[in-house]
Amino acid sequence: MAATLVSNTYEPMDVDEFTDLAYSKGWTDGLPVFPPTEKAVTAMIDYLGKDPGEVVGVLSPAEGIATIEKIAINCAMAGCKPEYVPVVITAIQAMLAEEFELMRVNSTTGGPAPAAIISGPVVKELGMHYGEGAVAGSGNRVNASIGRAIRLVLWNIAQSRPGALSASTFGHIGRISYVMAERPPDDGNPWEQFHVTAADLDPEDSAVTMYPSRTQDQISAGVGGNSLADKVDVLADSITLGSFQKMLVLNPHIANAFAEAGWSKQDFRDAIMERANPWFRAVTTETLHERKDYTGQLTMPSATGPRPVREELHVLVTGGWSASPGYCLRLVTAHGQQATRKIEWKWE
Amino acid sequence: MAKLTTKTFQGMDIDDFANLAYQEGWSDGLPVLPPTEKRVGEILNYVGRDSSEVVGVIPPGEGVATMEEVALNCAMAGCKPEYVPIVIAAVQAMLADEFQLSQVQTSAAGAVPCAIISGPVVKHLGLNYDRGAASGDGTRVNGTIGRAIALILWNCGLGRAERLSHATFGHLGKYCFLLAERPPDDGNPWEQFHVSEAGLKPEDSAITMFPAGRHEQIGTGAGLQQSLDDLVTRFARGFDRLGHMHEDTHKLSVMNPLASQVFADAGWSKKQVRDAMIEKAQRTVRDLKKTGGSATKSYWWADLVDFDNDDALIPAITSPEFLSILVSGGWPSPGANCLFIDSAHGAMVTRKIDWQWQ
Repeated sequence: MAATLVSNTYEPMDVDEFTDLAYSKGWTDGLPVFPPTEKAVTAMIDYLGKDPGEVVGVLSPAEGIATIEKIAINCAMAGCKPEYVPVVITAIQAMLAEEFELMRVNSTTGGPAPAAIISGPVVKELGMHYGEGAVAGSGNRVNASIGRAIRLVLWNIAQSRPGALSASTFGHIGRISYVMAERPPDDGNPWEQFHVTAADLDPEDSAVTMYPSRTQDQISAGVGGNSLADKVDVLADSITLGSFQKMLVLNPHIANAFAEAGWSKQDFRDAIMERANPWFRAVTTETLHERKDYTGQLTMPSATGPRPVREELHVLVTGGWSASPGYCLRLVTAHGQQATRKIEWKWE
Repeated sequence: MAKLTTKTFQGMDIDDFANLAYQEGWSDGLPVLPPTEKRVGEILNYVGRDSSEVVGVIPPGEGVATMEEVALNCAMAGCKPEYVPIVIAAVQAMLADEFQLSQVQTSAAGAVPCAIISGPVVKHLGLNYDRGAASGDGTRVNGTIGRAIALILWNCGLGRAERLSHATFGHLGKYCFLLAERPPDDGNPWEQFHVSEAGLKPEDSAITMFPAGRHEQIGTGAGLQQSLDDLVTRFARGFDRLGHMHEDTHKLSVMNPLASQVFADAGWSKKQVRDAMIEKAQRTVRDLKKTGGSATKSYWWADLVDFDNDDALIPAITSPEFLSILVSGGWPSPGANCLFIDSAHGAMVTRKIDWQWQ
């Protein structure tokens, strides 16, 4: 049975007219969107079996009401299939966590883009891509359209728009579609899954972690015969202790190099944090070449109380088997903290 | 009406089109618009070129980018006809030998071409160079030109993950990556990008394609009270981390208008700022040895300094032409976020846009 929808409808128009309308109404962040037809939107709502008027949350800064119907419309514009929508809903729930600070993430000059990290059995069940080109533009519809739907929800419902409610200086190139699926334990990931480490969920759970990423920096851990200790030093050289969370995204080649030498994910994290740079503010001309070792026990302030600085670094394994340079990614937040939510959905 | 040779599909609804587009691999994952005969015809009529004219052969797939193929991808990206001369100029710039498009499209570094637009065209077409300038700001001209370039590389060049492309991670800019420069009369205190980097005239409009690998945003604190020396150091520190010390990497410093104004108000030219940053961006031999083991002298920097002197300093930027400064973005908070972009393979290429908009 078709759900009763309350959104405006437009008389049949050709797709060229729709495109012009979408831009003039501001429904898109600049890139093309599909027309959200009643057929596509209804298929999603029927799949979910939810009331279209059900409110998932109120999204800052516009205080837009994210109903199931409005979410489905944005998912349809993004090209989602109905079975992807539970992941998008979980992402929205995660961004509503107090510690995520959605208001600041959406409006600050830092202009972070929420990255969605998907982990657990859902990755294989939905056929998400975690190999070469895992970060963007691999051609995988699941990864791309889920990321795009999250972005369009923030654009249309939260109204995080530069020059309006967003003051982002540059914004972030992830503000189009930003999804990373974790490598599963049986395909190149030697360590505990992300949601287990980050949120104490069970290995058999599937989860979405939203990470307010301000930067996505690709770094090389070194070429040829550099030792594991050298790799730690090279990676830690890009980690500066400070008020924002950090993430290192390791390709499976490097993660396995450490794992085969007996390092757990926590061992790796602790080694990096011990070698990380002191506060950025202390980096002046005089201290530029004095990289002191960090051994102190700082705690960081946050929306939900102080948190130990050693736990500020998270580690994710994804991407292709790298060539010798051992490319890794370094993410840093701008306001907010990552928030993980279990995906409460069973795919048949 | 131009005569088209591409296969046509008849009378399907838009939901069917969406499924077909994914199934046929016309999209890199994000929505594309149906390239209707009407839109493609309008584009070809506007540029006044023959639909079979070859713009170039795009690696690694060696796909022949005819005007018709270019127009199809522009239509899928949502371009208005008047944006298409810029897309054509972008394709031509990427086909310059020194850009090394084949490596950019295929290598483990997973670089993506970033389009930098400068000159009068920026205001003429209404490109956004203000808040949110890096992407997803709602501006059709920024979003669709960047998208069209990406789709041409996808559909004509076939730079696709796990097939002809072996990017370890790829790059978030793969869907769309475009920066418009702030014009001289709106917050850009310096010579325009195409003038300082390519010797073109101020009244020219130009596109520069930059093979971007790393992408980082750093709060430079340009609006806080600090000495210019410390400010330069903060920029330099963004260039000399060990994970970024690669041979001949071209660095792009994208400054917001506040940061550039702080330097300009003190009387610094763009060239002076660049030279000061280069001077400070350096690391010791001791540090650099960690990036590649100490057993060999074959590393790129071994000839620059005394390999056995651990205290000797190695420049992160070995030649002035490997650092470019671009002014873009909104007026920031005092923290003054700036972008730090490094190339991976290939050299930056600038081309004048030979088109007069009416």
